[in-house]
Amino acid sequence: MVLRWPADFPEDCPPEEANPAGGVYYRIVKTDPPEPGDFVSIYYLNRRRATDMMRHGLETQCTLMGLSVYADANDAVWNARRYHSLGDKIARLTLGADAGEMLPTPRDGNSHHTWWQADGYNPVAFATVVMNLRR
Amino acid sequence: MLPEIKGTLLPAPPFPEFSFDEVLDYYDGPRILLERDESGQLYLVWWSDADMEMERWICLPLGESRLHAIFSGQVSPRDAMESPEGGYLLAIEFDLTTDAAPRAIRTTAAAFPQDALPHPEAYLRKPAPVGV
Repeated sequence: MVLRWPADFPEDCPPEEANPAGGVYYRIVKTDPPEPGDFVSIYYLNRRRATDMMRHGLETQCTLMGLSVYADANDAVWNARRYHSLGDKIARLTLGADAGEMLPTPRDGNSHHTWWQADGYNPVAFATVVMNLRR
Repeated sequence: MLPEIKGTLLPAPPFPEFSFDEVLDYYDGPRILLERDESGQLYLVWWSDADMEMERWICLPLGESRLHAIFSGQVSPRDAMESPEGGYLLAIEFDLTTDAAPRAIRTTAAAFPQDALPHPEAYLRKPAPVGV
């Protein structure tokens, strides 16, 4: 399958080692049902912080264009408790190969993955809230 | 718009910008950092909240032993914020609409909405698996 990427993705993004994004993953969301705003990367959401991080050489533009998801729902819950304001719901994403590309990027041995969405992909259609931590 | 944090506005933040040298957690980007100011004071820096106009971080000044207690799970980050060693913490606010320097407000955890603080049961590190 040939995927198209947003026009402003750097040439080597997603990285070569990323794989087709098929599978089940979990992401922290604010709304039920999830909305497009739940799937916006920091690069687009907060350009100032993204620029700071790139200037310090900490992150690349490509990394910041990706989204954090987890293969294990418990890891998503763990992080939702750290940052209430990110959202209090956990959505299950059932992604096909057309969703983009995925790279395991564990933090402290967790199931963190970075997901680069293909251009035009609609994640809302494949996301279901499975946990509401507020209840 | 994020709710106002009451406290004392400082003339400048303890460090002019985040160095991001030590990132302790990441979700769509760094969310928990360790920073030091020019005097060597250590800060645990925790992402708190954001909207389209502002991003707010909690900066907790702390010593090595308190940091170790947080790392080891003896003290939760929330408890550390509610009982800071120096009696205060800082809210660092970035205006996302301009290039203005960040604002630093000397305050306490009580000034933050509950949702802008980590959950009382949130820890910095997951407990190590128990061996069999």
